[in-house]
Amino acid sequence: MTSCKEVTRLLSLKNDRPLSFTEAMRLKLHLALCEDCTAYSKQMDFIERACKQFVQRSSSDR
Amino acid sequence: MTVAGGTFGLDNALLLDIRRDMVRFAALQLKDDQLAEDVVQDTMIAALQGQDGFGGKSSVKTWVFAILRNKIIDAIRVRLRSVNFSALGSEEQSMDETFDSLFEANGHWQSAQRPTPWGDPEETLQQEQFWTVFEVCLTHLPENTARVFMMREILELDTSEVCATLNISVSNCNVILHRARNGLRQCLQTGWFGAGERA
Repeated sequence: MTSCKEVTRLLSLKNDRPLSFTEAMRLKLHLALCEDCTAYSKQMDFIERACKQFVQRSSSDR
Repeated sequence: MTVAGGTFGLDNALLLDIRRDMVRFAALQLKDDQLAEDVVQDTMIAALQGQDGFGGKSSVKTWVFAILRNKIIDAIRVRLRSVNFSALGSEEQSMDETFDSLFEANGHWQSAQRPTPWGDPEETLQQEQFWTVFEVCLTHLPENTARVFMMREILELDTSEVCATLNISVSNCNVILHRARNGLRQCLQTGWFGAGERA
């Protein structure tokens, strides 16, 4: 069973390299069943988005 | 540094604004004010010398920032060759302990630590005050953690490039990025999103 803690690791990893088939399936299955990790994954998505926008804001005209 | 009026078709005030923003950005990445000043100076010179190459497809600021980015990466390469990124400092250990404490022994979220909804991203990202908190949270990350994270997410290098530049293993890189993301998450939760509502 993939734990929530392990899922946080996979969610981070996903940003930096493609997940293996097994990793991706484990993640998908867990998220389908775990609303806490689903909420966490949305938080991570937000952080990614904020970082991208931070770069854009820094380098663009106000 | 004074620049000739009419450079890039911009007046001095605007160029000074850009310069100020560049110093701020460089200082965030390099965590060294003097080095940041030097890098910005080099960038301004390169930009002026390369003026003819500015095709006008982006704004001047965006174009100059692209030069700045590369100069920051060069500075990191030169200055940080000998730093040991694998060593676990007390700050990093503390972050790991904090993160571990969010989970029960079986790896489930602790009841009181279950992630809460952060609401509409767009709404948050439109608020100036959010960006102040965001920048503070970036500066709060321990230096080595911040360095890896910002090379990846702000300087937008591939993971392999980050690892190669800082001479860390890919797996260690992943560990540090995970640590950084959770650190940022913790800071944003405390500093912006607050206790939140749980279903």
